Amino acid sequence: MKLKKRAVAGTMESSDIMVEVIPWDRGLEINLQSDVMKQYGKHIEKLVSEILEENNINNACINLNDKGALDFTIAARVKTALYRAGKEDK
Amino acid sequence: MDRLRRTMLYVPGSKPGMIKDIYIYQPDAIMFDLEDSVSITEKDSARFLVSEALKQVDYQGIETVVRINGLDTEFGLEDLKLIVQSKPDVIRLPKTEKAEDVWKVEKIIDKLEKEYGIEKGSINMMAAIESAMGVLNAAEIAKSSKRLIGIALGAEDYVTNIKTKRSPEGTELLFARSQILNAARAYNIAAIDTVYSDVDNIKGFRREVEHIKQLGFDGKSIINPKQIEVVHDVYNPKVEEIEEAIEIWDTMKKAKEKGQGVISLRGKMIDKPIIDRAKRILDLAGVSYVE
Repeated sequence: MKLKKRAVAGTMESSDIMVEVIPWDRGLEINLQSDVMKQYGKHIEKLVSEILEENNINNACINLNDKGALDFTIAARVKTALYRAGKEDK
Repeated sequence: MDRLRRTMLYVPGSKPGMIKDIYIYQPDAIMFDLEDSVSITEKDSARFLVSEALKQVDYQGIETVVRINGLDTEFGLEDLKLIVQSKPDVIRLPKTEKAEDVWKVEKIIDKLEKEYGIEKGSINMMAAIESAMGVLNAAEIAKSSKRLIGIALGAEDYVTNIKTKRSPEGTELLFARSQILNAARAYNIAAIDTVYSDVDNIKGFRREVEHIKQLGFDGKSIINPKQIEVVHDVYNPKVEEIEEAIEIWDTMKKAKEKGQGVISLRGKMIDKPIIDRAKRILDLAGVSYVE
């Protein structure tokens, strides 16, 4: 998948996660802020890395602000942000 | 045993907080909405959220229904492509006016099931009827597809279409409800009534539920978990009704074993309609029985 532009998905509401995808050429960088960093920080990073790998994303900065989202929400928000970043502007 | 569809609880597809634990309220079906409750700018994110929830959350056997956007919008086809992969029990079509509307969606589901290696015919469909034209064509819609498990009335658009508004008595909906109910019964599928939007008016809600139960509806689309208890309470058979139904069923089984043609219970003849009604009571009461 080719990222064409910066995109965001999600909200700052409880049980949600805000995801920002910025295309660049400096490899992969994942920045995570989370209300449950100590318990789930590593797990969230692994989950996001797997989705990036599935979509062959090797160059992007991913900023995550987690408000206690479950796995399905994290997956959905990352996939939405990637989908939006890969779309051409109308 | 027929699947109960007394309550079909709407949840906006764009709200992760609601999607994650909606099953704790134990409705008979959960309807994830991608249509009217989701803004144009969040259509894509709602689609991904519902898709991931269906794949990852254990809804504990509660029937999962996804209301997609119409194929006449830019979102309908995209909804189907992602949602079919996540294998919901049912895909609900909005604003169905004729059999062709069902066929168009069915053709796409056929193709996607094949593409994704999903067993053919495993995803069911429901059609919402929300216009005068849809009501007039209710019978042809009801028989349009083997996948179709039910038809539902969408009253808000319908009353606007027939140039009136909803009243507490629901006089304006009598024709549509009767037409939809009869079409569903003629083709042996479920008939689901429309939503009641005034969530704080529990008295008015109960009155409407009693009304649609008397008309013969299987259940109702609902928009708030607090409406569940009222519907289930109205639909739950009384103890005497259950006892009588069990007695009728047992009498029928014994008579069958003995090869008796005419069955009677305390001097009253037990014929097919009485047995069918007893079966419906047992279904509603959650009593198991041998066919």
